[in-house]
Amino acid sequence: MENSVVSSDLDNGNVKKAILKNHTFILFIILACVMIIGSIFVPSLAQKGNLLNVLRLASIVGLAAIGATVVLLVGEIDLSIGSVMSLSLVAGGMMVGYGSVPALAATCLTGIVLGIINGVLVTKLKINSLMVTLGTMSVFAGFANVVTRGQSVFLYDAPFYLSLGRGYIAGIPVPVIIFLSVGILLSIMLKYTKTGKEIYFTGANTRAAWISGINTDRIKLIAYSISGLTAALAGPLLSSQTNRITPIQGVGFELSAIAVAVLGGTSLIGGKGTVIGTILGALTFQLLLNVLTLSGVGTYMEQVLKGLLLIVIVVVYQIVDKPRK
Amino acid sequence: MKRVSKLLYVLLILVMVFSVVGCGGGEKEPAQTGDNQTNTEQPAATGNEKLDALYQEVAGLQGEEALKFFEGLKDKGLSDAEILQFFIDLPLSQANEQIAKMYKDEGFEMYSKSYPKGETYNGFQWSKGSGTKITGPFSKNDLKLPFTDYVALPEGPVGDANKTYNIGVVFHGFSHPWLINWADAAKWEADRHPNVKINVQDAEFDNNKWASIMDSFIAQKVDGILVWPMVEAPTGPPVDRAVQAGIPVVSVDRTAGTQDITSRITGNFPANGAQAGMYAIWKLAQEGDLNAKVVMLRKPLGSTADAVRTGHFLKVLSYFPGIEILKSYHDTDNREEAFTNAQSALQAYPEIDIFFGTGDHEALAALEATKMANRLESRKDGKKIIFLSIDDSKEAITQVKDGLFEVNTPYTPLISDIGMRVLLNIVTKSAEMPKDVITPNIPMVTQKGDVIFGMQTQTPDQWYEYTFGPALN
Repeated sequence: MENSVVSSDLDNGNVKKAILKNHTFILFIILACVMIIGSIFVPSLAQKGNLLNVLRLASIVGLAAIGATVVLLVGEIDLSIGSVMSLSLVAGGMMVGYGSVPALAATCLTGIVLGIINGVLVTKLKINSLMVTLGTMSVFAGFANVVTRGQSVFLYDAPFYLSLGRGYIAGIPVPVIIFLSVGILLSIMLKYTKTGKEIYFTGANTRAAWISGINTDRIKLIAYSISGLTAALAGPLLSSQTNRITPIQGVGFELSAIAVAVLGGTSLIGGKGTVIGTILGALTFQLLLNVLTLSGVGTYMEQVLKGLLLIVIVVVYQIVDKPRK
Repeated sequence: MKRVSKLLYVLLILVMVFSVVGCGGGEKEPAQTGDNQTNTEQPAATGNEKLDALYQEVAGLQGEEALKFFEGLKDKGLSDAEILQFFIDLPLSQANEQIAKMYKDEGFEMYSKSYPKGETYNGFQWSKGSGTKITGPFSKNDLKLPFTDYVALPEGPVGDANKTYNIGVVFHGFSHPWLINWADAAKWEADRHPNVKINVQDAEFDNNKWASIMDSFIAQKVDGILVWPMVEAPTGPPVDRAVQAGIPVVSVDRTAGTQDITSRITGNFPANGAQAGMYAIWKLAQEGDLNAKVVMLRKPLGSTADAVRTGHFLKVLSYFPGIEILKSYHDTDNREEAFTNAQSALQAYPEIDIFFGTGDHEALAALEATKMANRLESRKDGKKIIFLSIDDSKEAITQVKDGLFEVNTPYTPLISDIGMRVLLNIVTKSAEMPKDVITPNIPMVTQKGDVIFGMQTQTPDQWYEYTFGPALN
């Protein structure tokens, strides 16, 4: 665990080393640099309206990334996040006629169920999670199209649903409030509850965790349920931006979610990472995208630079994690 | 210390990347204007003497003079169809140097020249009210196919009644409202003929999958293939392979990257762009100021729809030096991306007069982003931002009806039934089909029905039954 690494370094009295090894701290520095340097080249970056927009969009990808983080923490991966989002959105969309609340309830419930399906397949059938979720990614996406026959569900008559993605409470975009609430709750859960600690232990060494009495299957099931729920929660925030639900809304979202989680310092091999890091990762990711879009490099060049910058940041982590000779 | 210096190296790289980004910055230079000399390049003869003479006249005009010339077209004896044709074939003007440069740099001339033009098959003229109501076999949408009388084919067996004709259909997008209705129209036509069996395959926006489906149709020795090619370049070789194997291939809407295709049914991309340009100038003239700042939200780079529409739009605008293109954004036919682009434009430019979307998603995304940014009426004197939309989804036409979009220039997916009839005629050798089957231009849709440079527009209610996609309620 990252936290334990930090504390052990602190015990040795090497505070400077500990800080430099802390991914959250590094990410914070990078975020500040992006903000400062970006503002010099793109003056409109620092405008209040733009920053609120960055926060709103970061919240959507960040929510899904929190779920991805929890799954990565248990040493697994969830490639079906985008498809879970699409199918749960579509399930909720079918209920829009009954009102926003039933639609949102159906969306969240579907997300949890799909997460549980992933968890059961991984734990009970003992199939590699990469392959399981690669498969369910296709299955869920296919179902989303089958159910809707490729058609959109419009949200013009669902003001409450729309307000989730577009509204403000005390000047703060609603998605930001949802994102931070979920983030804080999960952060507390991971840090202070028995289940949270078991999540870290399971990811750090599944066999050792199992031997020490942790029901690792149950922990993985919980992780996938959380991932399903957060993917489903992110869906309405995204679809309300463009006033409609489509069966392809979540396509490709899994890659952004996993990228943000890794950017936030979560290890791909499990047991290491924090929700706070993921929150910072989402902000950095979205701010980078915003800088690139505002600077006018063009959609295709944006893709190139976005990928390059992600690689640079991950390289930084590798450099600081490398043990000293 | 070593780690700190490595970290500094990485930060240095970040600074360098931002420097590159900054240098390529989005702030465009102000539009430069040309002088008062003859502005257009020598217009190529169109073969229409009346129009060619008009192009000679308009060549030296710009701004208010060009506007007056456009306003007088009806008085020069041009019909509605001829007025639209005048704007479609209008030569590029050098009056607006920024637009002229953009037109050349992006190669719009090449797209414009290669896009099929001409008369409709057997001089077909579409009239309001004609067509056939159906329930989409795939989408279950209520649709009205406007051109079922075009290249008409009677219901019942085709060709040899004892033979089954196997037709392959490859397109992209059972998940896309425009494309699923495209597939609806093709299947509806095939289902009218009991000895026609079709196999509809969705390549899911993957050009490699598209090619492999084509190859599997060739291997199955189908009698004919109907295609919707997403982009040109990668779709040419598979079509060539089919044609070389003796299988006729007909494309509908976008064109494939080969001249050897058996037949092409093309829509009204040139008219869409020209109409959007006409409307923009007409609207600005109504407001009394021909200066405007335009943001273009565009479909994928390299797609026929984007290039032909944008090119024809810019040609009309090129006569007006007061028009400035602030920025041109591309997306991948994805409304969320278009939405992000629109948000960025609204953030970067405090003054935007016009959003031009080259497709359904783009204008709708711009509208939502503008509403969210509370910028709907952010122009000088509190005027509303002008939204120029293309593609006649029920959603878009409803926005015209509600006064949120100023105009929609319709482009319907419900033309694939024409393609199926052309293909069946070729496969059964029932009739000689031309290489290019041109579909009729459709009048633009405005809220109340206006007369724009002498051309009558239609109201949303008049066109609504022909629109595609699901209804809003």
